[in-house]
Amino acid sequence: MGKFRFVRGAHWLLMAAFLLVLAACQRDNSSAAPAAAAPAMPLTTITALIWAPDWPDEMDKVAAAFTRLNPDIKVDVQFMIGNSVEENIRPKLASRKLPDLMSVNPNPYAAALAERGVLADVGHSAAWAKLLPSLKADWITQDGKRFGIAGGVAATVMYYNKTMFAKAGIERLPTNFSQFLDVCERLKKAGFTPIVWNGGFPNVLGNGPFSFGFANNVVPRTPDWKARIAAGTLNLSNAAGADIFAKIKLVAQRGYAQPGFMSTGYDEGINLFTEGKAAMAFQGTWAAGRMMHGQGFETGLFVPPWNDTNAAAVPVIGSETGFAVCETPNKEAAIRFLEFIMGQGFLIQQERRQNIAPFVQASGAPAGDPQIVAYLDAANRAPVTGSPYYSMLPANTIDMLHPLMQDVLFGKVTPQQAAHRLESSIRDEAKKNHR
Amino acid sequence: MNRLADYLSLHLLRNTALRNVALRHRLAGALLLLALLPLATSSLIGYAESTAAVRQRSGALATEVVKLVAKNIGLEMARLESDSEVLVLSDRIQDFLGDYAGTDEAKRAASRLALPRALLERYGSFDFLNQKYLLDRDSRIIDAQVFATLGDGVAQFARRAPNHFGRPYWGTYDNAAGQKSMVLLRAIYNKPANQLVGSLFLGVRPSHFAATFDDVNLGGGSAVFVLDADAGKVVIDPAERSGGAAPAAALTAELRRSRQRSGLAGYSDARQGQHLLAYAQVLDTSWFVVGVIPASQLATEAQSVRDKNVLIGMAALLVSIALALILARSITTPLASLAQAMRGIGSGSGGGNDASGVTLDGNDELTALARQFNDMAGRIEQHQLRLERRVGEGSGELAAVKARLAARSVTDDLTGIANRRRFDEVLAGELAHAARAGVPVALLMLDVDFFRHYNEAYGHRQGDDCLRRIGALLQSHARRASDLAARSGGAQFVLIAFDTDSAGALALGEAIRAALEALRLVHARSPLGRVTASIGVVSVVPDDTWSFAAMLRMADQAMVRAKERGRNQVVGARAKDTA
Repeated sequence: MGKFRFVRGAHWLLMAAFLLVLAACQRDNSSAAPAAAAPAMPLTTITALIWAPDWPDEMDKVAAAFTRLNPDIKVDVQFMIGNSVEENIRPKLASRKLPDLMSVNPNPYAAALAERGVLADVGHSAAWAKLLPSLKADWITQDGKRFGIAGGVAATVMYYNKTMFAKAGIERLPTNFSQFLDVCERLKKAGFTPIVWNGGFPNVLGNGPFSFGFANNVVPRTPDWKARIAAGTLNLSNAAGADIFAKIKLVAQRGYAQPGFMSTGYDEGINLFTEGKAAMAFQGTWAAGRMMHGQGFETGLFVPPWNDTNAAAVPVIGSETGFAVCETPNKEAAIRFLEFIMGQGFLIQQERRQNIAPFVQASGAPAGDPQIVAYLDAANRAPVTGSPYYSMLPANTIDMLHPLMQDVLFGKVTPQQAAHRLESSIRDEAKKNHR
Repeated sequence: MNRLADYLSLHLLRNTALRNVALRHRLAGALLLLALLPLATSSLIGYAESTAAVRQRSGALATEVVKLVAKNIGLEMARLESDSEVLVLSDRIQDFLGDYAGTDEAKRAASRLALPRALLERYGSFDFLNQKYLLDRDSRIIDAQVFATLGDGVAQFARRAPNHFGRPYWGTYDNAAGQKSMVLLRAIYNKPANQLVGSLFLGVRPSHFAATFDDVNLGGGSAVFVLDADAGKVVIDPAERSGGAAPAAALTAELRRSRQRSGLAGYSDARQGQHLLAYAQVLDTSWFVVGVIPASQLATEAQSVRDKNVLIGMAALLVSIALALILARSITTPLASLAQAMRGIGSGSGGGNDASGVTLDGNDELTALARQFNDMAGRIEQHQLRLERRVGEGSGELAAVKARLAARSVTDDLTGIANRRRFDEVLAGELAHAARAGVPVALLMLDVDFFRHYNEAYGHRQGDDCLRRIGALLQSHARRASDLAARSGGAQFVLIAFDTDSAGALALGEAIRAALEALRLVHARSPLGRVTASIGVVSVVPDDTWSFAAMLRMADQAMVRAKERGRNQVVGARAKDTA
C-alpha cells in the first residue's frame, strides 16, 4: 500500500515538475531584463520668443542651464528677427500662438498687451521686487499692472577711441553738437573715420542720433511729451522736429561716417569700432562688453552732445528691452524661467554683455564697467533725461521710423518731411488707440 | 510482435517494482504518459516557435511602424517645402532679393528691412520654427540685427550643405547650447534670369516632427527616434522629454553597415544588451527612423505566449488525468469485484457480495469473465454446502472432545485443581484488575515439607494421593469466585486471594496450615511425624509497575524463609523481598 501511495504521488509530482519546467523556460532571461524605467517626470515645454541680437548664444545657454536645474521644464527658444520686437510679436498675437515668455519693450504697445490680458502681472515675482525703482515706472500700465522686467539699465552713449582722439589732437570732449562736428572734422583730417553710422540697421540710429535729437530738441521744451505722444498731440512739424533728422543726415553728408554706411548692420558697426576702424560709435550700455574692449586701444565714453551751444546735453536713459510672461497655461513655468533669467541667467549673459543690471545693488548683481557706472550715475543726476525711442514711440511708428531715417539719409525724404511723417504717425496711432 | 510484447510486459518486468503497482495505477500511468507525450512535444515545439514567432511578428510590426513614421515625417517635410516654395517664388520676395543683390544702396537698405518683415509675415506665427532666415548669395543672413556668432553658424551650415540642384536640403543644426533644429535649406533662384539670389533657412524644432510619432509604442522598453546617420546623432527623440537618450553610436554603425533604406537588424549595446532594430530612411535625407526593441522585451512577450500555452496544457493535462482515471477504473473496478469475490470464496464466505455474485453490465471481456466466474462460484458454493453438511454431522462429538481438551489444558491432571498455565493467566488478570480497582491481592505459596522423603517411604501412589488431599484442602480455602487454588508443580501449590490484605493473607495461610496439620497424615520420615507444609504469603496493592513474576518471587522467598525457620509455618513477605 505504501508503494501504491508513492506511485500515486509520483504522478502528480511528475506533472508538476513538467509544468514547472515549461513555465520556467526563458523565465530567467526575462527576470534578468533591465528594470523598467523609472516613471518619467511630467514635462512642460515652454516657448520663449527672445530679442537677443547681440547675445543669442548666451540666451541658448541660459535656457539650457535652466532646464538642467529644472528638469521638468524644457525651453524652446525662438529668436526674434527683423527690426523690432513688436513686428515679431504681432503675428504671434494675431494667430493666437503666443509664446509663454517673450521680449517686450517698456512702451505703450506692451502696456496695451498687458491691459488686454495678453501679458501676465509679474509684480509678485522676486525679479520685480529687486528691480530698480527708477525703472519700475516703465513697466506699469495705467491700471497698475506690472507687465515686465527690464533686461538692464539702458543708456545710449558715445563710445570713443582714446588713441585716435589723442592722435587727432583732441584734448577736450565735445559738449555740444557744434563741438562734436569739430571733433569729427579733426578726426577726418587725421585720416580716421570719425563715427560709425548704422544705416543698414536703423535701430541704432533710433537709439542714437534720433533719441538724442528728440531728448535735446523736444523733451526740455515739452515736459508733457509722453502725454502728448499718447494723445497724438505732439507737434513735430517744426524746426526742432526737422533738426532731429537733419543732424542724422548732416553727419553722413559731411563724410564723417564710414564708407557704405547704409549697409552697415548691428554687428558690423560694433566691429568697425572695436577693430579700430572708426573713432566713435553710438551704442547702448548693453554692448559695453564689446565696446569697452577694443583691439589695441582704450575706450572712453561721453554723453552724445546733441544739444545746442547754449544748452546742456540731455542724456538718454531708460529700461532695456525686457521680458514678459504671457497669460498661457504654462504661465507658472514661464515665471520660473523669468526668475532664472533675471537671477543665475543674468550672470551668463553678463559674461558677454556687461550691461548694467536693472536691480538694486543689494541684489548681488555685478555692478558693471566703472566708466559705465559713473556715466549712469551722472545721467541719473541730470535735470532732464530722454528715453530710448523704442520705449516712447508707438510700435507702428517705430516700424515707420526705421525706413524713414534711411530715406532721409538717402535723400529721398527731407528732414522736414520726415518730421511731419513722424508727427502724423504718432497722431494716427493715438487715434487708433482711442477708437 | 505479440510475443515480444508479452515477453516485455510479463517476463522482463516480472521482477521490477512495476509489478508491485496496482493494475489501476499502471493503467492510469500508461494513459497519462500517452497524454503527456504529445503535450510535451507540442510544448517544446511551441517553446521554440514562440520566440521566433514573437521576434518575427515584432520585427515586421516595428518595420512597418518606422516606415509609416518615416513617411509621415517625409510628408510633413514636403508640406514645409511646398509652403516655402510659395514664399520664395512670390514676386515680393523675388523683387526684394533682386534689389538686395543689386547695386542701388537705397534699394538694398529697403530690401534689408523688408525681407525679414516678409519672412515674419509668412512664418512669424509658426511656433515650431526655431530659426527663419533669408540668406544672400554668399549665405549671409539678410538681417541687420543678427550677430556674427549666430550668422556665422548659419552661413557655415548653408555653405556645407551639398548641392541639391535647387531642390530643398534637410540637415540638422545645433545651436550654442547643443539644441538641435531640423533645417530646411532651399536655394532661391530669380525667376526671369534663373540666377541664384539667395536661400531660405528654416530651422524646425525636432519636437514638431516628434509629435507625428510620440504616441507610437512598440512595447515596454522600446524606443522610436530619428537618427542622422551622417552626423551619428539622434536628432528627434520623443523620449528626450523624459530624459531618455538613445545609443546613437552603436546604431549608427549598424545603419552604415546595412546600407539599406529600410529593414530589420539586431545590434548589441554594451550597456543595455541585445536589441532588435527596425529602421526606415526618410526620403532624400541621411535621417533614419529607428525603432529599437530590447531582446528582453521579446523574451517577455514569448514568455507570455508560453504561459498561455502552459495554462492550456495544464487544462488538457487535468482532463487527460481525469479521463485516464475513469478509463482505468472502468477496467480495474470489475477486476477488483472479481478479486473480492475470489477472496470471499477463499475465506469460505461465499462467491460474491450477495447471492447474485458479481454483477456487470456490458458485452466486454470482463463481463464474460464475470459471468463464467459466477457459474464457477455457484458450483463451488454447492460443493461447500455439501461439505458443511457432512462436517455438521460430526460436530457434536467434536465439541465434547474440544471441551475436554480445553478443560485439560488448564487443569492439573493429578489434583484436579488449576494448573500452572491457568494460575499464570489468572494471576496476571487479577493483578491488572486489582491495579484498576486499587485493592490488595494476595498470593500464598505452599510447599509440602519433606515430600521427597514421603514418596520414598510410602511410594508414589500414596504420594499422589497425599497431593490430591492437599489440593482439595487448598481448593476448599478459595473463598471467592475470583480466588484460585492451583498446583504450580511437584509438591508446590499456590492460592490467589483477591481483595485480601497482608493480615488476611497471613490468617488464610495459617488456616490452611492448621487444616493440613489437622488431617494428621502420618509422615514417619518427617521430624514432625505428619505431613505439613511451609507457606509464604505476600499481599500487595499493585500498580502498573507490578508483575506477577515479582509477586511470585516474593511469595517464594517468604516460603523459603518458612522452610528455614523450621517448616510447618506461615511467613509473610518482607519489603526487601521486592528488590
